[in-house]
Amino acid sequence: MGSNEAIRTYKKYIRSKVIIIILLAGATLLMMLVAVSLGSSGLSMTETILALFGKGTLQSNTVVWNLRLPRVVTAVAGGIGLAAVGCVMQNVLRNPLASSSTLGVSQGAAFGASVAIICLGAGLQSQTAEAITIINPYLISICAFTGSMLSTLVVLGLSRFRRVTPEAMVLSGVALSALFSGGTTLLQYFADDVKIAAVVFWTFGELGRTSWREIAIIAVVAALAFVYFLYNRWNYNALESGEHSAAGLGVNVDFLRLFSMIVCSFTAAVIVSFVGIINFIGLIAPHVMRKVIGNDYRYLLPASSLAGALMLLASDIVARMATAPVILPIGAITSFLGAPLFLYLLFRGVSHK
Amino acid sequence: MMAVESIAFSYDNSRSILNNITFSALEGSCYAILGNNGAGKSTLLKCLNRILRPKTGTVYLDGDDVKSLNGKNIARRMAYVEQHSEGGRLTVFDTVLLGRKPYIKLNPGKHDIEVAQRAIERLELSRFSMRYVDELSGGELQKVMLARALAQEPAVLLLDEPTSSLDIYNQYEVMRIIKDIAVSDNILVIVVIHDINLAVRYCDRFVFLKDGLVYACGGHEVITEQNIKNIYGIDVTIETVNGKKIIVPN
Repeated sequence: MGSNEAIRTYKKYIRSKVIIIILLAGATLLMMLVAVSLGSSGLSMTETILALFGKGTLQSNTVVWNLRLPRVVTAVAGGIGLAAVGCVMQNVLRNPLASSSTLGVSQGAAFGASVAIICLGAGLQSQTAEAITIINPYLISICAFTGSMLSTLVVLGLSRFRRVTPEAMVLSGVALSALFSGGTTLLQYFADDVKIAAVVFWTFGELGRTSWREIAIIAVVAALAFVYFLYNRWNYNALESGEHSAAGLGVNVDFLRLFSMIVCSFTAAVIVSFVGIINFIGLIAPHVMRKVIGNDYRYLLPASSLAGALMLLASDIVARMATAPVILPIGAITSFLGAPLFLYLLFRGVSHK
Repeated sequence: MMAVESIAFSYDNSRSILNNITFSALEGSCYAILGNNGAGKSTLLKCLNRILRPKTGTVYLDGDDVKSLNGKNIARRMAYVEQHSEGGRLTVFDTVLLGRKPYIKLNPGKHDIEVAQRAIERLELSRFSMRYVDELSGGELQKVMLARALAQEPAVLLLDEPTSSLDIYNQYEVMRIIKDIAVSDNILVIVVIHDINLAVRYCDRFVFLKDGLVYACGGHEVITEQNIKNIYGIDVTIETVNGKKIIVPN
């Protein structure tokens, strides 16, 4: 193969990856449109599109802009954030099972929410067959965020005393998760049944909780994290071939690992504190895309992020439509859809070997 | 030229691995670092380009203290190939292109792609260039890592046991390429190696380490039966076959 021909072949190969990302972006946009149009008020696709441009009826504009679009945009921003975080954590922790909950972010958030609901009185105001109203959602979000960042701060605190290896980080996360779970259990043990119901309801995960202001916070944090991750794409590629190899290519491995973990934990904490615990997206979206597009972080990061958005959107559609008008907990749906897919990928990999 | 002065290293301030290592090395030569297991050979190699930070001592590269250079500038001047490189799921081309990382700002330019392609052609990897490296054999992977190191356009090439998991054909093939790189590109190659016969055949200079110190350093004259016995604790006979030295354990 001549030199020019080889370079042409390489550029063609790169184009195929870009096409996959463009297709994923197109599929995400299409899925967003479908998600906005589906629901109990029976809007047609045309009515939905008109409402999206503010040209629908008062009712359709209200349904689309106040009810459905916030949910859909939350799913996209949250899905992008959680998948990008999972993708990077799997790289910097050199662990294929790493995701946003690895450092105890989810359990920390659940503990924080429990403190807010049980100890600080942000719990249920009323519980009817249709809805559960939480008195002070902001207090819960702030406490959940504090709880989820606590574990990260503990791991960072430990790193001041000695170099933290990926194994030590993962095991610290396991220990802190256990600690937070224990704390949550103890709080629940002494709480009344109404407060326990509020805690359980919060931990289910719900994309419909967010207002436009909260969506803006999630979107800005997810976007900034994504830009930081993408800026480091060559560093993550270098780390794929081992720590010392990456250091030999000029990567400051310790700084990259620590700062990436801070960005990951912060992003996951923001998302989880507003929408509750959503499992599997951060784990499975990068794994699916690794099979499709390879481990090159230039393409894996955008592809995984879009796949995360797509999966969370699809899960939300199932959650809303499967037993309409009752909305199923999104966290359970992502686990239900994610776990079999994960097992399939795992065993397909085994059979190939 | 590289000058290593009084390098000392220990992990966690416990047992000392390297004590007062001093030697110098010239470009265009292939240096073998020899010694028994645990002598600190790989540690020394990683101290040279500051993958590991020596407790004391200095490494000078063409007069510059390596300590004063940042990671990117070190990587532009010194390339390092690990003993057991992990391929990951990147193509051969992308892996070699990664060697341009110290030069890439945002995206690789035309020049970076051309340098990577030249390195691929030099190591005769063109037919694999679009394959994932985790699908390659040990010998092929080692060549990919050498090509990546060449793409860094370094003045010094640091190789940690490049032949340790290769069959006899690939051992000689890889060492031949390494020797060729040192001579034709006027690069200083420092290679940690266990196979003393391979070292004697392809390297010009030898640094024997023992108990974290330089036991002997020099040309072929330091390859003596007595030195080998003192370092490895084994009696050997050095014979000459077809004009080449062969070390045979007794």
